[in-house]
Amino acid sequence: MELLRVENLTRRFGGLVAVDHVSFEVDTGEIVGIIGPNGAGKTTVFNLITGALSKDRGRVIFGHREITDIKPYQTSSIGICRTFQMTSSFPEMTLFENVKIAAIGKCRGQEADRKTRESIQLVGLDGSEDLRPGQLPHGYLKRLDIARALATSPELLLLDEPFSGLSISEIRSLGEIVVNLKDSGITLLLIEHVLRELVPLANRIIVLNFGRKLTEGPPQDVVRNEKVIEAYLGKRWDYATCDSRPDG
Amino acid sequence: MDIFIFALTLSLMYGLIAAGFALILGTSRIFDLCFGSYYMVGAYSYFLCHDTVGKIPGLFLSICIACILAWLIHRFILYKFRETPIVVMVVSTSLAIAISEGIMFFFGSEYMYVPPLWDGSLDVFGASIAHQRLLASVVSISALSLLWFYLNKTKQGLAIRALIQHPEVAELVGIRPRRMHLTVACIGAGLAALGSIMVVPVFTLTPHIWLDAILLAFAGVVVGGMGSVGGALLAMVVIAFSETLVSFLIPEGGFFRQAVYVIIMVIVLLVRPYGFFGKKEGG
Amino acid sequence: MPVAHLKEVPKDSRIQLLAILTVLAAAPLWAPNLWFVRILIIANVFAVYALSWNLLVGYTGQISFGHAFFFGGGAYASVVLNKYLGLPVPLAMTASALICGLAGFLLGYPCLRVRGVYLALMTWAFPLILIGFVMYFGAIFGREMGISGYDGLSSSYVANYYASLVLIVSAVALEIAIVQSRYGLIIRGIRDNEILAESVGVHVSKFKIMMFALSGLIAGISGAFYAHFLKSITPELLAVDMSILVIIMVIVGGLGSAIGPVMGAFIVTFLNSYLLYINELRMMIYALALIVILFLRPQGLLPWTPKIGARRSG
Repeated sequence: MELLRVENLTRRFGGLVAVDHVSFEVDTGEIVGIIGPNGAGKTTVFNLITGALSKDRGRVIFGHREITDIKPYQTSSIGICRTFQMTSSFPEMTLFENVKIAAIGKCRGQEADRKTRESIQLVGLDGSEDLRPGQLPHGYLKRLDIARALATSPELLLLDEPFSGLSISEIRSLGEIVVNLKDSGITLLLIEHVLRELVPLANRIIVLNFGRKLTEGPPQDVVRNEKVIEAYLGKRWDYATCDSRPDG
Repeated sequence: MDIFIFALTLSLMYGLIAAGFALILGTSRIFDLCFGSYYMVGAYSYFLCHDTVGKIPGLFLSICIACILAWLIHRFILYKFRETPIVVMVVSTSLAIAISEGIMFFFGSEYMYVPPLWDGSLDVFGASIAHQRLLASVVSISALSLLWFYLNKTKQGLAIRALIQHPEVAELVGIRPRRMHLTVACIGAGLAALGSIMVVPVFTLTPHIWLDAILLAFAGVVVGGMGSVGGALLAMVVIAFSETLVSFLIPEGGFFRQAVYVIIMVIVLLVRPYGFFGKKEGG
Repeated sequence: MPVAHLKEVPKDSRIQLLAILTVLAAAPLWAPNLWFVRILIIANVFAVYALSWNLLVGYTGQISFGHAFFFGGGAYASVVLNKYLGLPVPLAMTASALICGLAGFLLGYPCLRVRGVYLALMTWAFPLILIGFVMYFGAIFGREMGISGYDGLSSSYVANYYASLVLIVSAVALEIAIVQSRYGLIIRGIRDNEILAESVGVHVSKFKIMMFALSGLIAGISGAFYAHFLKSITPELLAVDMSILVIIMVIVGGLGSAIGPVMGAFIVTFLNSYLLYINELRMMIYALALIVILFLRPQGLLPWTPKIGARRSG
């Protein structure tokens, strides 16, 4: 079933067309990856979907609702939540409060506390509730971002480079968390800079380059696509290296 | 016609003030609200010494005093807080009020009259224009051209422009930021003092005139864009013409002078939050 | 002392609060003379003013350099309502508080468009519009001479004192209640990271405007109380000094807590009263004290202050 449909999304910055007539769909229960080199327009696509940037052209449909003109603060109430490329948190709040602020949008009182605890548990941060973001290592902050997004009870989660800056073991455990989220019924749209992390996880991969959609398809096809190899990887990519990653 | 000439000379005089502030802000990113104090201190020191040392030496002496004050304030206080603009604003505003109270303490808060550098007036197209206004216009034009020459044709000017455009890179290529900040603060204060000695004889001298100067400087920044000297000058034309119109059209409209500056600022902030000639910063 | 966030008021500070309250409630008994009671009343009023600023700046992170707009505006509104429309003092004060709340609501809109230093510049300038009006409509507002000859509060200092105590206790209670509620979390979120708060569903503009209105309302009522207590007002209540004074009070006492601004207001008011014989130079003393405090805690007092040209992430 189709959950999110993006049609002809376009956005210019001055003379530069950052996103150029990009269209794609995301089905319920899928993990979809968006990849592309720096400046390909990945984050801009997120900003356009959540209304952080205005669209020059195009429509966004979520469920059966058109959300083209949505404001960022409204997205979480209809069931979309995003994270940011740079880990971002409320520096003067504890980890618990950092997540609770997202939970209170939909739940009240005890319910909000329960939701908060549940989200923290889902990403494996339980035990650190009273620490402040400044006291947490980078890997924890990445998970805090996801926990905060989860606390809004999203149907669709937009993760912007969730794996960046993580060690191999952290990537593996975060990969497991992502798969668990998918199994619990959340649809995920992931931006990644590097293919390797996405291939084992994603059902489908969309490749962007210079704001245009280059191709789209199952990971195995995408990594063998000549256009992708030429534009993005520069040389043939060895699919064998990702065999050791957790299976999507 | 006389409205036009009044406004034109006024915008030239205000231009000195706004350019000084825009220069300091652009180079050092310091919102120095003591700027009004340099203006006021310049005027009061001229008031004090024009009798004893003569008008022209008094002018230069006052400019020097304002420069020294600016150097001290920047070197020992504001430069330390430059990373946090809001702290700079709190500290410099309280310093400005303190300086104004100090002046009130020594001179009292009465209105004072400062004799013009050049007495008399002239008839231009039926409008009577005080010589002081003409002199002020000539002085502003020459000072501003000198500034332009300094910024665009000298090595130091190049360094200042580099700092305005990209502080981090400028530092990397060996421009010493603190020395440049202090130089620029002195130039800005000098312009403020020069401007005050030109403007004050046309109006009156009170310990509250720092507010006028700082509001003009604000308006220059808001209308002209952050740290843009050219933008600040154009902004002063807008301000001077609106002010002159208001004071001609509304009886006793002089009370609204400051309100006029503020309203123009607010309107511009609403239409273009980063000024008409400034580039948008950040998101 | 600086940014003490009260998720809940800790037990010991509850005892502190209670102790302070008891001492203050008994003040007419231990105060050496009426002049001292008078200073306490003014300190209470300033504390309410400082709390209003703290609510907007310390908790919500929206800098205001022009809070005199609300303080002086509340004073003038209440006095005009009382003197020219004959409203009794309590009614005039309530009405002027509401007017200031409305003014905060209206000023909040343009303030949404700007942030950081531009917000500071804009708020810095707001009171000057009011000064323009006060000077222009001299027949009503009395220009530099201000207004006098309107109704004061009760003639008994003790009654006035308890009225001011009620005001400050309700302001502190309101502030603690807000901070402990879900709204407290939301406004701190806006202060810490606006964009992130928005992404998890906080309607940032709505809460900012609400805080402008609430802060204006509280500042307005403190200004109105001040006016009726002193029985004469001048445009000095609208001057930059008044806007800066409240900032100094809060920085001296500590930002972002309910007790800090109160302490700051008491310290500054008592300094003010005992330094009265060098009244002309008191700002110099404040300025120096402020600079010393800020030197000892560079950047510490306003930690979330946005840098000029700081870029958004994401």
